[in-house]
Amino acid sequence: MIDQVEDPTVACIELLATIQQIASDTVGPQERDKQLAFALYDLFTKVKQLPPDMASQFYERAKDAAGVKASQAVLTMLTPDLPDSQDQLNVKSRIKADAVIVTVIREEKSAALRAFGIDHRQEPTYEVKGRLFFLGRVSRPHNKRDLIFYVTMIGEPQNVPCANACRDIIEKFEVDCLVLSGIAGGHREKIGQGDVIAPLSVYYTEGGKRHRVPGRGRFLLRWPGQLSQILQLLAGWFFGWATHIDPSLSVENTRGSVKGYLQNFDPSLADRTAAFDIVLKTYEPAELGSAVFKNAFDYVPGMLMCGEKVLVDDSIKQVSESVERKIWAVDMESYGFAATCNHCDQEWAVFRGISDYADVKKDDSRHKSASIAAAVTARLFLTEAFRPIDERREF
Amino acid sequence: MANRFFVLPFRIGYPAATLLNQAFKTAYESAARVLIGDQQVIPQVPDLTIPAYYGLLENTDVAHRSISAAMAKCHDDASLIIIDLANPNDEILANHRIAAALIAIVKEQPQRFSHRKYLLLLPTILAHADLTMQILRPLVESGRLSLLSDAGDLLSTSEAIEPFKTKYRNDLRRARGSLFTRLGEKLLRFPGHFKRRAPDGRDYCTEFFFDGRLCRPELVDLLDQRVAEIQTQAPDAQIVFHSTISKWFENAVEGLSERLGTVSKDFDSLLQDPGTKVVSDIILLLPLIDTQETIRFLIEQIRNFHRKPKIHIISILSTDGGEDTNGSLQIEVRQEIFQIRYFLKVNQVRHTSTECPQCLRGVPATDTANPDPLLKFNSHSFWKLAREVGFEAEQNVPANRRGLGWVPQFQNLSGSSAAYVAWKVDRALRIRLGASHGDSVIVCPHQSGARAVAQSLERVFNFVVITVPKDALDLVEQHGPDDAYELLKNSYDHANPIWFQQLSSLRSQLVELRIAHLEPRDHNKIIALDEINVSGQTRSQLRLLVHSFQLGALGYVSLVDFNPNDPRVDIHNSFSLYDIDIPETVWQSE
Repeated sequence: MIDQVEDPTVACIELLATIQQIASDTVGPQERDKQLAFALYDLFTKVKQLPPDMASQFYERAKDAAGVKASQAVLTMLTPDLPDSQDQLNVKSRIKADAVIVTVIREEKSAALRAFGIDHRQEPTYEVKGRLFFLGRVSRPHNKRDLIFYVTMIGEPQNVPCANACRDIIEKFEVDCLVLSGIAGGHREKIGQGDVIAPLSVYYTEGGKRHRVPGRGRFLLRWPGQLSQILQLLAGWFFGWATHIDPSLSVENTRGSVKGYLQNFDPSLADRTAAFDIVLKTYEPAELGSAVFKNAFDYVPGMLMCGEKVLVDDSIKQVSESVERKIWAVDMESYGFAATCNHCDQEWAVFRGISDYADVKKDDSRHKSASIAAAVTARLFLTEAFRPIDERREF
Repeated sequence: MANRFFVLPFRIGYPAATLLNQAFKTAYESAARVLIGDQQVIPQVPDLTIPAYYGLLENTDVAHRSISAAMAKCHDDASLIIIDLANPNDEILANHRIAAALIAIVKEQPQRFSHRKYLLLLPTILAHADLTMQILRPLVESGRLSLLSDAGDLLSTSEAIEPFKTKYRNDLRRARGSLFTRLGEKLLRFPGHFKRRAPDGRDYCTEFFFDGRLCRPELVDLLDQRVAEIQTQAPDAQIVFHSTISKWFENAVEGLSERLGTVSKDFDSLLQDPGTKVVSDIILLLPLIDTQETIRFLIEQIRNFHRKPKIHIISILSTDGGEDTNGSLQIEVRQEIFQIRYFLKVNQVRHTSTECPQCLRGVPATDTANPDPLLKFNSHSFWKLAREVGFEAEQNVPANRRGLGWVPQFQNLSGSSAAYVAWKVDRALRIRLGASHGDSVIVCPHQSGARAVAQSLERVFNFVVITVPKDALDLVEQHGPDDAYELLKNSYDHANPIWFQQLSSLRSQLVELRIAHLEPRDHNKIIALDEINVSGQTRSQLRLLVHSFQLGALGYVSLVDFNPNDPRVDIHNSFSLYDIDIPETVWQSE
């Protein structure tokens, strides 16, 4: 398949390197400046395809790379003004990407970079509100074009930071699928540690109404009128007070074509294991420490429960029984992620590796294994089941 | 009395005439001597080839008129007429229409020429049942026509003069160029970021991927020669090949197997096949010797299973060795010395994975299965080329603009870089214009950079290239296309330069096709080419020039366009392989 246009971000990275090389190893100031002039013009041709704030990041780096002192004259002559408001109407407002892989903690980011073939020492390509974005490209079978994607890390757990990060990403990137990849707690009786779940729905279980009730809730009366209130007050004086919550559930479902791709996604055990082993080999022995790994992990579609707290009370079992029996795992970001994506009409997918059972035995020994499993499943999904928007044939 | 011979140097599948080099003229003399012997000869050989374009191949009338017109230039005294159909484009063989036209022309010759003999040069003697052969056979049996193949085989009622058969074979090879030279000219070198893994599991990156997809015929010939040398000593030698990412190499080995009528085993099946244990020799074929780790690993693997067979190693490419072509090097594995013969030495840039600058910059890896997915150059490829050829002050700056200062010197393109550029241009022409070397002619200004690109297209893809001097282009621009042809004719007809003859022959070809009521497809398959475009002046001049010969330009291609958003494009299908937008204020005349 022949692509017509080079990805502008990749082009700018290459041109920055070229500018750096010319500045450092070209003999003769005149020859160096003339070559720099061409390379800078070239860079300015390519950055026109980027949003203004991304373009300005490359301008600044180009100045650093060219060496401002050595090439002051060239830069003064050549550097165009940053796009003014009129120009901004003509430039692209967002960077095109097939996917952005969102992670929350370092282990998840490290696993995602490795699973998608990005060197973990690689310089970040963009910075958006303090978050670093690493460019990657993966090839696909059957001579399809390569997928262009970015990996980023939010750095703090919970739904609100995740929602904010998603808004920033959607504002800056024209992305076909936003993917959340990382770890979760699992339902002991339904899914094993190290396995991966990809939810079609995410349930938010923190909502509801909090009551003050007598005793341990044994006297929660539902009688009508004032009689009920009087009886409850009496019971409270005698037995003391406790808090009761009327649960209220919110749910976000995957939408659009990605839902269908997820339903049809069925990676083989051999592919999962091979992909896991390849990623595992990229870690130094010292990095692995006493971590426990499961390369032959299972993959299941299912439902995910999301809250704001770290659960170590096995309560996922109760929620699964009372709300939805297919809730097999719990995390702290997927609802904010899914709700923001749906609000912005953005397709999304979540891949969660099970690192523990959200009970008292919870520890960090399987964080790496679960992160790797989630990341390789995300890659298998994107390369085998997912179709970028420009490749879809919908009737 | 001296024997005069006349040559009709047809080039099947070429859309226009090309210059006939001296080496071919020598080969034709040797061909004549296969029949005449060492008697004195007077050659009558034209300077230009005769294009047997597709319209001629498809219609006996057109073929008849074209051959008759060429034959009309033959001197009355000529006793032998050599018709060369042995050097086609795309390995196209002479077809029954050409054969029928030829037979008709021979029969139509006046009685006074009845003594004339005809020698038809073909790549190979056609099979008995072949339709073309059936048409030719009566004339062969009558003694008037003889057939001579590339290998020197003669089909004739006359006896061949033996030493000249070998001489013809050798002269023909020389005229076509050495296989090693052609391999070097056609080997592609893709720049990129190629991540690799050594047999011991260490990761490393290389900056180039070498690809021999365009040199399959040369590779098959070279491998055939080398294998034949080994098989004279060891007839039961087993051919084994090892290839991981080089599909082109597997294709070449497949071609070798077809030619030899034997099966070549891949490396893995060698280790599993107990039958290999009884062979005395193993010929191990590889695409590239680079770090030598792979070849050491392979030898150890073979020795683990097969202790006795002698191992002959042939590699297409090598990054090591003293000779640029046809070299050898030695390696020691388990106290045993092995000699590796290679065809071509190449330069590779290698980095360990921890020090690879592209990895650290975040440049995604390039896929060896599809190392160049873009129609245009990507930034990395372009700057790799530009820095390789170097920058110099711009020359031949048109009067209508200021110079750009220093520009890439594409005239320094050579070897696999030139092949890569040619491959990019050819692919873009096919995809954007549906044009190929068999039906398109490149017209470019006689300037070093543009010529270098055009010549690489000529060498790698057999494109016909017409290079036009700058003063002719200026003349056309000054007087307009309607008056320009007469002016050009008056200015150049007496000197008869090659470019003028070529364009004139295209014009007469068009007339020929119109007489035959055929679709004049060749009319619009003229591609204007230049190295850089800035103001569009040369593009405009090329369009006017082509127009003055009553032809039309199908498209225009430049390597770099410094004014990619120019709305004043006068050739509809104009495109470039790289765009750098330099503001008009920089180059516009004040």
